[in-house]
Amino acid sequence: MITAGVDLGSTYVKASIVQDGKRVGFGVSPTGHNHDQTSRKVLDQALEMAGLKFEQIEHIISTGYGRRVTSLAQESISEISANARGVQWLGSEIGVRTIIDIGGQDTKVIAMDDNLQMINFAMNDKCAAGTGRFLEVLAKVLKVPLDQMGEMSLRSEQPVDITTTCLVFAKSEVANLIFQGNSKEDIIAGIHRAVARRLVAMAKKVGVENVVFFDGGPARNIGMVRAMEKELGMEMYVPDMPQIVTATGAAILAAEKLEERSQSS
Amino acid sequence: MSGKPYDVGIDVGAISTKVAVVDKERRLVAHGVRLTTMEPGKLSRALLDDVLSDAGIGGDEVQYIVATGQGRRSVDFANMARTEITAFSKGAYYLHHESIILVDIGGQGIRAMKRGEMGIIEDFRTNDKCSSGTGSFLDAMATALEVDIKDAGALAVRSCGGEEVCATCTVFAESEVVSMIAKGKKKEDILAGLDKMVARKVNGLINSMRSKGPVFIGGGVGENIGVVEELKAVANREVFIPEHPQLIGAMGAAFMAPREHEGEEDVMRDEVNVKKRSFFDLFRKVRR
Repeated sequence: MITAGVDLGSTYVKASIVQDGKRVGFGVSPTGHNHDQTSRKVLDQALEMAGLKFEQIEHIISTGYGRRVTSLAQESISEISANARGVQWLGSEIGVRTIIDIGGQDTKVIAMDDNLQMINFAMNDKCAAGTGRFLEVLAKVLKVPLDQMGEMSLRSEQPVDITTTCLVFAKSEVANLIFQGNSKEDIIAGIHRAVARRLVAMAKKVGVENVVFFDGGPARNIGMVRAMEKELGMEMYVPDMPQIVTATGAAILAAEKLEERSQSS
Repeated sequence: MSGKPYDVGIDVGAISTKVAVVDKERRLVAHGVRLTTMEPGKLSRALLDDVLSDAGIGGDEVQYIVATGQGRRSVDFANMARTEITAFSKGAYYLHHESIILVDIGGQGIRAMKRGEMGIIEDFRTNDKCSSGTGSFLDAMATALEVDIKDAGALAVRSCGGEEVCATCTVFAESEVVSMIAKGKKKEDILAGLDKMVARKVNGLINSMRSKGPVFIGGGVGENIGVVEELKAVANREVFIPEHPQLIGAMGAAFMAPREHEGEEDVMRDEVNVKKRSFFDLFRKVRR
């Protein structure tokens, strides 16, 4: 059985293909204006990786913020459920209790019980502080590629303090810090710490319990992971491809829906 | 005291630096505005020199220089420094005695003050964390719309029906505006929607001050006719807009320069004392 999940996030569109309980392909591309086109593009990437054809996919579920604006999928589901399902599938052996998922425009913390069932969640959707966008915009101000932020921050000896919350204010604060002669490494480490503090404060409201699963695009940033671990005071589990956990969850759900249907008919 | 005829107020804001030259009758004689740079001390010196030379005023005709705003401490040539709350309230009080709520909508801050007797501030509230509704917010939106911020207000009042803006965060509103443009919405309608949102936010702050008195609007956003009109529509009270909203802080700073006919005690108190005094005034009121 071959199914696919397409996660239309605010910043990136992700696709994942699952064949008989195994992830066989994925694709990632920045969200453009045409959601149909972008979601087809990432799905084609995933198909190429898996060596499959579009016609072979039996069921597609879309998720994420733009899940209703693509005609590609037969069904849609909220990103919270898809993410939780992805984590259940990936982390069934490690016993995940808390999920921290950083997206481009929103951040979610999901609490789970022993059976990996969702019991509570919190979401930051009004403010860009503490989201992937925060890192992205400040990387631009620093003229540092987003992918290099993590490594650079590890070389910092004395992270600076970012005192502002709002991204708009942080932009001028960072520009000022550069002007004052602080090293980019120290500034980036400070940015990571500022984001980590916000996220950990939010996570603590929901309740943090071991094991903590960290996913979403910024989880690829090693500096962000280290800063989070320091603020949390515990280690986190970061999957290989943190960006496509939600898309994979949607693909798994698609497979389950098909099975349900074949059983009932 | 010597007969030097002018006082200067320098308001080093987060986004722009304002200079106001006033005479002893508290009339605005000359002024200038420039974007704040990384070196506000140097910038304010250069701006002051330009303003004075354009107006044909010699440096020796200036008696006092009072600095205010977030960057007031970097104006090393000023005779004294006052907080932006004190300076703004002083400026607003002298320009319009009747206003009870004084609102300063600046580049990075919205400050609402409640004026008590003698122009002393009883209470104030400010947005410390979020840029939503500030000048930076409107500036980012104008950039996204490719409209000059100076024309944004005039364009917005031409709208026949504003769009509804859902996002609060400046960063998210930016993406919302971009997608509205992609959907073919009119710029003036988007701007009108944004102005309405700012007006609602400011009005919320005004209402939180618990007074039905007239409101005075100053700060750079006060120059935006779109926001002002929306605010007048929602405020449900008298709204006073001065001639130069952006200069209120700088003018208020200049008004604080010591004067011959006023007692030294009133004049020479420093920032800490101003705070103490207003606190005790408040305290006394509560006890009464």
